[in-house]
Amino acid sequence: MWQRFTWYDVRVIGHYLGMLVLFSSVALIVPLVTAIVFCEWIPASHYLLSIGLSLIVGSALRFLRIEPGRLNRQQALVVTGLAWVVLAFMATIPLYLSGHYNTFLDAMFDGVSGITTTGASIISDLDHLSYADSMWRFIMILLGGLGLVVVALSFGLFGKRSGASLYMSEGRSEHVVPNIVQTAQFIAKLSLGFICVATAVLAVMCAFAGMEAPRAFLNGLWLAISSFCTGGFTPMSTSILYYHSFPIEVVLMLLMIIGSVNFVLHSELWKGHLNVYFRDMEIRTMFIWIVVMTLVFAASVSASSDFSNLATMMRRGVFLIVSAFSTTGFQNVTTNQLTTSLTSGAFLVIAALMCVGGGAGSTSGGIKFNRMGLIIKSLVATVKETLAPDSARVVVSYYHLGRRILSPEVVKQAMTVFVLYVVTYAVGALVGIAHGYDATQSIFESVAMASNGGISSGVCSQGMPASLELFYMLEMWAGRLEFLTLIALIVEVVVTLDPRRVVRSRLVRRS
Amino acid sequence: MMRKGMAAAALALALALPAFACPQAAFADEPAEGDNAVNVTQLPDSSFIYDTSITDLSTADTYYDKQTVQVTGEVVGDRITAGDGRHCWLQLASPSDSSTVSVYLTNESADKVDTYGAYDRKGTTLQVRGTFNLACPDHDGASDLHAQVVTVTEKGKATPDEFDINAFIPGMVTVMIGLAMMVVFYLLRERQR
Repeated sequence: MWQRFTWYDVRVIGHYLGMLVLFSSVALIVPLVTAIVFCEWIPASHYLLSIGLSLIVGSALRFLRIEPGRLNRQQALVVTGLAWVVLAFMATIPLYLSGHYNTFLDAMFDGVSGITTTGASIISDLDHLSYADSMWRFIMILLGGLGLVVVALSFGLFGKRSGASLYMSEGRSEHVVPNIVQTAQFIAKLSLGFICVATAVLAVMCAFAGMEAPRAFLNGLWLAISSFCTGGFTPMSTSILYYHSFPIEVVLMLLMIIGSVNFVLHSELWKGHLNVYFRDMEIRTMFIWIVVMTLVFAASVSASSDFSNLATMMRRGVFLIVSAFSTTGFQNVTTNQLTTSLTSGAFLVIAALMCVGGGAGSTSGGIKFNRMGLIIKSLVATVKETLAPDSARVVVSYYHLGRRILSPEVVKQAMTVFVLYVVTYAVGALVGIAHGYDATQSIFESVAMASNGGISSGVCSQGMPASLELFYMLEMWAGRLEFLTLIALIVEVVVTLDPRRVVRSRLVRRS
Repeated sequence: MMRKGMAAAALALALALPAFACPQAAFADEPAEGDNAVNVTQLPDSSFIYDTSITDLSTADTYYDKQTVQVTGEVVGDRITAGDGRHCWLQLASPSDSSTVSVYLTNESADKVDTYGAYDRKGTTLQVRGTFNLACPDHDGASDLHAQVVTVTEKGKATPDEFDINAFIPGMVTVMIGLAMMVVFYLLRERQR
């Protein structure tokens, strides 16, 4: 039986959403300070207004329930699902005020893309965007990459007990330490540590490349955030091609790979458990998948006249592969080159890499390596059962933070999410085709949106149909929440608003 | 009627004039003498496309590859060193839309740029003539334009924001309302406890 939300549930959900919106007003202080430092007075006024609006909306939502009590699992699912919409909406306000978007929907597209770390953008004249607005774009990536709930939990916003439900509903299930708040804090600290070191390295490289000191620092910071959080936004319109620097590309590749590995495995590495790290099914699946896809990519691209020489293949190809599998979305080729210089085979290999994505519990999107590993293990188990005598009991195990037995529940969960991703990719491709776009590009774009990969083949651009824009936003949102939270949210809302159920419940109450 | 007649006469004159002015044009197959000689073995040269837009280059197919083109646009971003000490990279943005092209040029040519376009700056407008590469073999497949001739068509200028307190009033009002709501919420919660 579907459980219907009561008015009490709505008020509790509203209260917690209000807390998250209030928290976003703190994040908005960063671009405000940036604007003041660089004397960007018009953006400064926009950010002050956005902070004020966040305070009003957040406080109004909190008034729905003064003493909310603890969140139960259903409420936590809805809070998490709606948080990504409400915060994307609030984040869109300063973006729209920047004047770099034709419509509010275009700005909302970039807001959703930033928060979900997709990285696709339809901004106009990015090269003239203020530092404050650029800073806000990367703060969105940082919040979204770590997870809105993880960030809020690390600040102790929800307490320990409510936190567990919220943590699970954001697509995370593994704990570094048993305490959920400490786990969130570990993730936040680890990420900030990597970002700080990477910022210093990249800022020096940018300065050597010829940038002035403030621009070198900001570019270093933004690139570090975007690569570690596998976001994909860049400060300049030509993405990573702008820097024309192989050393910068190498550092970014390292950061993207680190960002796409499960945070729990990072903690094992931190503890010095190298054996646990390299024996893990996820790491091994990742290694095999990337080697196979790199070989296919190289074979395919060698037929291309532009990218067939070894130096070009190594420089452009390897970077694209890392950017695609980590679902970052950086490009060191132009969008035009993707569709004209690459072979269609290589183009589809990039789509396949985005489709699978990175490690579970990382900042990457996509189906995830652990699910692929589990599904392959399940295939092995099925073949073994077919070949084994009737009396035999087949047991298949896998290594993930210790040896585990492959259970039907684990396989069912992995298969469910796998099927949901594949269906979404297919539906998104059909929606693109129905809007008159080329089939290959539609498939590529749909995968890029739902996997939060963000490498665009050119379909996402200013003036794209609003219906397609909305569908892609839904794909980004669904992909980031790994579907189950979103589906649960939709079911809860439909069941709650269904008039037949409302009447029935009133009749039950009267009798 | 009168105007139409005059136009027809002008057209006839325009067509007839070249025949009188350069009689050899009617006999182009016959070699002329001196510097004006027509080389009948000359193959058609299609490697020169004049006044291309940056938008065309950003959506270019193989037709534009290795062609000499001329584009005009605003310099945005930074001057990125190319590593050899003699060349650098500039980003040239289209005046009509967001499209850009990477220009590879000598440091002497880049010295002509006085302003690099950004939020509060309009960059120098350059006219660049050079060879467009869809995937440059010298730069590991980057799509670029190797500049041969660089001309400044318009100087850049700074356009800093002026501080206007009136622009901050809506923000200050909303922040004060928001803070007041937070204080009221806090008081209500304390009263309930």
